[in-house]
Parts: sequence; C-alpha cells; structure tokens
Amino acid sequence: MTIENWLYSIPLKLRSLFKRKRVENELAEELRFHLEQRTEQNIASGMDPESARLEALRAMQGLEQSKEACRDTRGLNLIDNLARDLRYAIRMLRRSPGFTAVAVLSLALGIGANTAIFSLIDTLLLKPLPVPHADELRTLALKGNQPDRVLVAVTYPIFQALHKYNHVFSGLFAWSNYDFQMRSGPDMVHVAGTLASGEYFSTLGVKPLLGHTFTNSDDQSSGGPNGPVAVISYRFWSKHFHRSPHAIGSPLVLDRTRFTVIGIMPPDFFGAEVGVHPEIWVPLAIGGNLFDRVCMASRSCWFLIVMGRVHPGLSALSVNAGLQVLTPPVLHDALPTDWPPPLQKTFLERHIIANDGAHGYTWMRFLFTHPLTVLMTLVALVLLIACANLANLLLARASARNREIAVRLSLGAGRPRVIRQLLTESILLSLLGAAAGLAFAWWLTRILASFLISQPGPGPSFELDIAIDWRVALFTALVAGGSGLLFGLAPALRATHSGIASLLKESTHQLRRARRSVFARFLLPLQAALSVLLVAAAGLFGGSLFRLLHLDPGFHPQRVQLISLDTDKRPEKNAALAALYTRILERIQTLPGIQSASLLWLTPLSGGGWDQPVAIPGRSDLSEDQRDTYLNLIGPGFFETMQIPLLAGRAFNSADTAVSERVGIINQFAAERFFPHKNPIGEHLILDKTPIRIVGIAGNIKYLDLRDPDPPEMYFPYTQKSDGMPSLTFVVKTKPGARSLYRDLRTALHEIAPDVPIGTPKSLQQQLEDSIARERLMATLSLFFGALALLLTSVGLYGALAYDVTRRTGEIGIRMALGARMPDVMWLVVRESTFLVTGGIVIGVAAALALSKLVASLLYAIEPNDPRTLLGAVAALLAVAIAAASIPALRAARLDPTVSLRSE
Amino acid sequence: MSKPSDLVQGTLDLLLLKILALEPLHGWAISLRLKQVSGDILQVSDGSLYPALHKLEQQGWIKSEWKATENNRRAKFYSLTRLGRKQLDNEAANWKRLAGAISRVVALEEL
Repeated sequence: MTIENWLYSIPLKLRSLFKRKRVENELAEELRFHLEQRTEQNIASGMDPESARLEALRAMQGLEQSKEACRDTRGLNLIDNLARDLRYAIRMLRRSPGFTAVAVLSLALGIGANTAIFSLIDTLLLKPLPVPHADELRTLALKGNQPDRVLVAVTYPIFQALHKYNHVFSGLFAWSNYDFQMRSGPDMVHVAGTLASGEYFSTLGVKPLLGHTFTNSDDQSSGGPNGPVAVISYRFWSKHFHRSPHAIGSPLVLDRTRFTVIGIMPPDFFGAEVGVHPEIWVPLAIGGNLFDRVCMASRSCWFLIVMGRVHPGLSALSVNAGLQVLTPPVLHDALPTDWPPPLQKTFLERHIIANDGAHGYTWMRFLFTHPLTVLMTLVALVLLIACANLANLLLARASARNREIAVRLSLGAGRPRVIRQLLTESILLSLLGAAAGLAFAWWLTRILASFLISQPGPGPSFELDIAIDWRVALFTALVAGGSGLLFGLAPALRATHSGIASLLKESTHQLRRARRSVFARFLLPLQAALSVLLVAAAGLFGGSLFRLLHLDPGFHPQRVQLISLDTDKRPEKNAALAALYTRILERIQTLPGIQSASLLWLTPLSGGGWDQPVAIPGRSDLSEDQRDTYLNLIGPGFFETMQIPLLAGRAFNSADTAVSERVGIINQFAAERFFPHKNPIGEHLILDKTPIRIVGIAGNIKYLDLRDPDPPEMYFPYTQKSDGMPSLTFVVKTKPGARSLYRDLRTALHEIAPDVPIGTPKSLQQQLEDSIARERLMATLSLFFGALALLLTSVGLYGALAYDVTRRTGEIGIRMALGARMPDVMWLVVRESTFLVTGGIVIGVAAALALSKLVASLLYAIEPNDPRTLLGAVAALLAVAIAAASIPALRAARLDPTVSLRSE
Repeated sequence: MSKPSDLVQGTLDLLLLKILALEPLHGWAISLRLKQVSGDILQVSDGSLYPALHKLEQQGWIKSEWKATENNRRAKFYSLTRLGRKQLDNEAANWKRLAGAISRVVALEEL
C-alpha cells in the first residue's frame, strides 16, 4: 500500500477506534438495509413474510458472523481483543481475590528483589557517566606480571610523565578525593572535594551551569593567572550561595586558603567517580601543593586515579599499541629511585593498560561485583520458584475452568484466541506483581545501598543515587513479561489441549485416576531443588556471618564511641599538638557520664593501618614478613576503655614524654613470635633505627580486618611521636544509660580548639558491623530469599494437594467405603508429591555441591560444601513440605464417605 | 468468512471496483448489479459481499458516503477513489493477461 492508501485508511481506523458506537451503528444499519431489501424481494417472489426474512438471513450466512468479518477488515482486532481480554482478565482476577493476592504478592517479592539487585548492578556497573560520549573514556591502570596485581591508583610523577608523553588520548586527567575544611557558622566542617588536573572538565566534556571551569593554565602549583580557583557543585551553590549568580568571583576559604569561585556545575554532575559527590573542585597542582605537598612530590604516594578519552573510533588494539610505546618512558621518569632494586625492577616491568571508563570509576566495583552477581542469581532463582508456583496454581485453575474453556472453543473461538486470553490474565498478574514489586524494590534498594556505603573503604563518604532509570524499567518490564509468559504459557497450552468433547465430559466428575500432567510433575521437583539451593546458600552466608559475629575481636565495643578530630591545619605540630590532645583528653575525662576515655590514631577495623617490619636483636632468623608489625599510637587509659587485657608490665602514663626513653607495648602474638623463650618486658625492638623498650604485653585485637588472623601488634604513646603527629581519634566509654556526649564534647572542644573539625561520632559496635557489611548483606538477603523460597514452595505444595483432594473427593469416598483406613488415604494424597519432592531434593543437593564453590571467596570459616549446612537445608525443606502436605492429607482422611460420595 | 466458491480468488475485488467505476452504488444495488451483469454465473453471497466492500474501503480503493436512495431511504453508497481507479486499471490489465493465457492453454488442450 502507498502513503495515499494510508490517507484513507488511517482516518477510518481512528474512527472505528474512537467512534466505535457510531461505526457499529452504521454497520448494523447497512446490513439491515440489505436484509430488508432482500426480504422484500423474497416476498415479491411469493414467499410468506416469515420465511422471506429467514431466507434473507440465511443468504447473509449469519448476521453476527458477517458483522464480525467486516470488523476483521479494520485490522484493529488486536487492540480490540486486547481491551476485551484485559477487561475479562480483571473480572476473573477480582472474582478470586485470594488467588490474586497470593499471585501478586509472590510475584511482587520475586520481581521486586530482582529489580532491586539489578538497580544496584546498574548503578555500580552499567550506568554510563552522565557526560557526552562516555564510551570513549578509559581508566588507566598499571598491570604487573602477576595477574592479580593491578594498580588503579598512580603517583603524581607518573601522571606528569603520562601527560608529557601522551599521544594516545585526546584528553587525559587525574583526580583525588580530598576533604576540605571550611567554616560553617561556629564550626569547622569537612566538605567533600576533588583535586582535579587541568583537563578534567574538558576531557569529561561537561560545561558548567554558570561561569567557567578550570584548565591547564589554572593547574599550576603557584596558581594560574586568576590565583587559586574553585568550581563548586550545584548543591554547594544552593546551600551556601542560595543560587545567586554573584557566587561567580566570590571568595571561598578552604583549608585557610582563599580560593575564587569561577564556575558552578550542573546538578547531575558528580565527576568520574561513582558514589562520590564532590562539592568543590580545585586544580590538582595548586591543591596538592597547598594541602598534600609530601604526597605530590613522592614517587610512592599512590593517590591519583587517571582517565583518558580516546579518539572516536580508535580500536582497542591501537590504544594498547600506543600504551605499549608510552609505558617505558613514563615508568622510567617516575621510577621510585629510593626503593630497593628488586622492587624497582618489578616497577619497571609493569604495563600501562586502559580499562573501560564509560561507567566511571569506583572502588566498590572490586568489592561488590561478585556478591551482587551471586545475589542476582539467587533472586532469579526465587523468581523462578514464584513462577513455578503460579504455573502450578494456574494449572489447577485451568482444570477448574475446563468447562468455560470448552464452551469458548465450541462457540468458535480458535485455540490461539483462547490461549491469548489466558495469557492476558497471567501477564496482567505479573504486571500487577511488577507494579507492587517496584515499590518493594524501592524500599529494598535503600537497605542494600546502606549496606554498600557502610563498608569502610578509601575515600570520603558515599552516596549511591539509585534511581529507576530506563535500564531498570526495561529490566523490570522484561522480567515481568517473561515471568508472565513463563508461568502462563504452559497452563494455557494445556488447558486448550484436549478436545472439546473430553473437556466437557471431564467436568462431570467421572471417576478416573487424577494424574497430574507431565508439566505439573516437573514443577514440584524444580521448586524443591531450587529451594534446597537457596536455603543452602542462606545457610552458608548465615553461617559465615554467625561465625564472624561470634568472633572475639579482642576488645569490647559496648558503649564505646569514636570521635575523630582533624588537627592537620592547627598551627601546633608534634609535641605542641600532642599537648593539645592531652588538654582535650583531660577535659573530656571530667565530663559527666564518662566511664573512661582515651585516644588513639588508627581505630580498629576502620580499613586504615600502619604496618612496618621491626628489628628484633638476636632474631635474624625471622623473615621481613614475619617481622611485619601493625603499629598504633594510643593514649593513657586505652586498654581500660577498650577492655583489652594488659597481660604483663604496665600501660603508658604521663611519665612517657617526648624526652623520656621510647617505650612500647606489644601484643601477645608479637611476644610469642619475637621472644618465644624469654620475658619480653625490658627487651628492645628496633623501629626505624630507634630502639624501643617493651614495657607491657596486651591481648591480641583484630586490627585491619575481622577475617584476618591476629597480626603482631605494637603500641606507642602518642606523646612520644616526634614528627608527623597525625590527627587522633577519641575513644570514649560512657556509663550505662548515659545520654549522648556529643554536645558536651563539642562545647568542650570549642573552648580548647575552636576551629578543629569534629567527625560524626560513631560507635565502635557500628564500626565493627560496618567492617563486615558485605557478609551482613549476603547473609541478610540470602536468609530472606531462602525463607521466601520455602514459603513459596510450601504454598505451591499445599495448593496443589488441596486441589487434588477436592478433585478426588469422590474417589476418596469410594475407597473409604471399600475399607481404606486413614493412613491409606493420607498416603494416597501425598504419595506422588513425596516422590517428586524427594527427587527435587536430590537434584538440589547435587546442584548445591556443584555450585557452592562459586561463592567460596565470600564465605568465612565455613566450607562451601559444609555437610551440616546441606543437611540443614534438606531438613528445613522436608519440615516445610511435611507441614504443607499434612493439612490437605488430614482433610482427606477426615472426609465422611457418605458426604463425599454425595458430592458427586 | 466464507469465500465465494466459484469465483477465482481476487476477482471479486476486480468485479466490485469495475461495477463502482460506472457509478456509486450501495451494497444491495451492487449485489443486484453483479447478478445482472454476469447473468447469474458469478454468484456472490450476501455474506461475503460486505466484508469484501469493507476491505476495499480500508485499503483506500473505495470510499463510502451515506445518501438517500430513490425511495428516500438512507443507504451507504460506495464510490471509487482516485487510487481505486488506478488499482482497477492494474487489476483489469492483469486479468486480461491471465485470462488470455488461460484461454490459450485451454485452446491448446483442444488441439
């Protein structure tokens, strides 16, 4: 047909869609006119009026059929029928609210869980950066000869060399996250910021909302032509400048340095690091020079992430070839010459590689890709169970609707038409489930995201903006449509399979062996197998978490709060700074409600650590690795506050000062390893050529990671730190029932050190839990999904058996009348299911054994094929199955034969 | 719906277009005209006439209009569109080719 044809046909189609009544009336009138004319003609030829009318109708071959044939020509049947099917489906679903509720709820949980996990995967792995042509971006990394040694962070000298020799990328930039100190009212606060190199904005290709961004000419260590400049986020602009255009050119004092605001970024811009939302961008050269001079100059301070943009259409092959040429001069220029020769050699053997950068950079990817993949699989299995369940319920319903379907078929509805109508019902169900599932997903993603961002890691606090974008919407729609087809197609095919006659006959409750279809017999073992798999996963992850939670960290976190200070910008350094800390600590100890208080540098399980090999006189037999010791600075009262036992010797006290003898306390493990045959008290360890006298032995604590074995540990008094005194954290144990001390603490700090930013207080318990966020995530979700699987399976089993019993009431009555006893009847009901569930369990156990290796790296202190976990999973499923089966079985056994026979 | 058994498939469209090319007619008049011109040889049932007309209308070959009949009754009159006239020419040419070919084949058999 040509376009001109459509000029006629489209208005006609629209007219029949939207002026249906009028079009129908016209059709009826047209045919009535014809019938009248024919009748008149027949009368004229001598028929009596009645037979004349009937003859006319016969010639028309059925008035309604003719009308339908005319309607068919409109080509709108698809839409028409869909609307009619939908109306009918809604009516059917409303007529059985119980079934609808169970179906929608189980689908909502299944689809919602899938959507939630997918939206996390989308956020972390799939969503491209909101910048033009994100697919041209690459993240650079240094690959070593061992496959697992990939460095994504580089040093400033490496970046400088990359920039100098670059001929591969049209733009190349580096950045590092940095928390600025800024005054906000009476407080000094931290503001998340980014130190970005000159081509950061131009390479990302993002234009500012107002003003302009900085370039290479601003990225100078002494500041560009405009001095130190800063670009601010939309959020920062709203909060601090109330979206005034005069913000451009305004001064902004960061870390006591005056910057000039030159640009404001659009609201959706966050840079190149997913999860990090900087408020301020400052040129790397000047920012680094002002705030992190040591790191900028160092050839072994790995703090920059580098990204580049390749020319469009450049193949991966030519990029790699270019990088191969680039690698030797860059590594040569940036070689850490102070490293021992073997390490220098390894350094020079590295290769610069380009990884995908379209999705930005986030360290969370390294940590969560595997867990999320596992979770995605688990939720897919849950949805599969839900689908199997619904297929089962629909099969039962379809048999109950045999007569209705038979009537439809005999009235001339084609089989595809009936199947389509049944499918409309199941797809409507799954769409309803998806709608409810989206609400569930919204809630679940927030919980999931809180797990993810609580995981301690490098860098500032995380925000994951998980939105339902088109990928998530498409995914949900596909999952919903797919599951609707999955659980709806087989029952629909089966319902329309047998001939009309047998369908009509069957509804007369004739006595015949009620065998379930092959398909139904396949569903139950499938559900059982999947349930075993999910419950086993729940057992493994739950078991890992249980073991971690019952691990003794070596300290007691109850009622212990951690409050960090940032004194890096204080004029006092070293001894003077230590004195400041002492003054603050003394003040804190006088506050009411405090049981004890101390301070330390690195809080346990925070993800940060300081380790170095120590020298032990007379123990040249120990390797460097064996002598590697985890170090920390602590204050007086630390062991009481943390309730770490002091096993021998003394704690630090006020006599340990900058001028007194250097002293240290080692942990039990260090004492056993370094001094196996003598009392370590009074012995010396040598750190950085300084001898340190051991004055005490403390209990082991978990330092870096709860999952690691206890390392050798050594404490020093902060008062003896002679140079590079870091910011410390107060550790405060409150009396039972004491209210939060944060306000008192803040007031006290304002008096002593008014411009020191105070971190948000965090309980040590929270820190402990955050450090195992991944395990908690896996355990919580897998337990939830395991329970859901059991629930769905039991509902499915119960539904199938209950339906069987109803259908076989007559048969059961006859058997009872013939002398069958209660156990016989019960066995009759559950016999088939028993075999099916047992078969499913066997398959499930085999699958669990085969698949559990894939999650081994996510487990702690539990073998992937832990026999007790598997047995537990089987037992749980059996218990649930027996409970679900016993209700219909008992009902069957209690049937009164006389009543049930009458039910025929 | 049922097809006119004794009509070569597709020829009904040609017949209808040809009849309507002469003058706009309503369905009943079309059925009378069909019978009249083909001399009872081409039987088109009432049941298949209207779907065929509606199909032609949907395709844009013919258009319809409600008008009064000579007896002052309202009826739906069909007439050819510009496209329909072109279509008729095409179909008629096709038909002549086909008919010519078939009669040649039939003539061959008689030899």
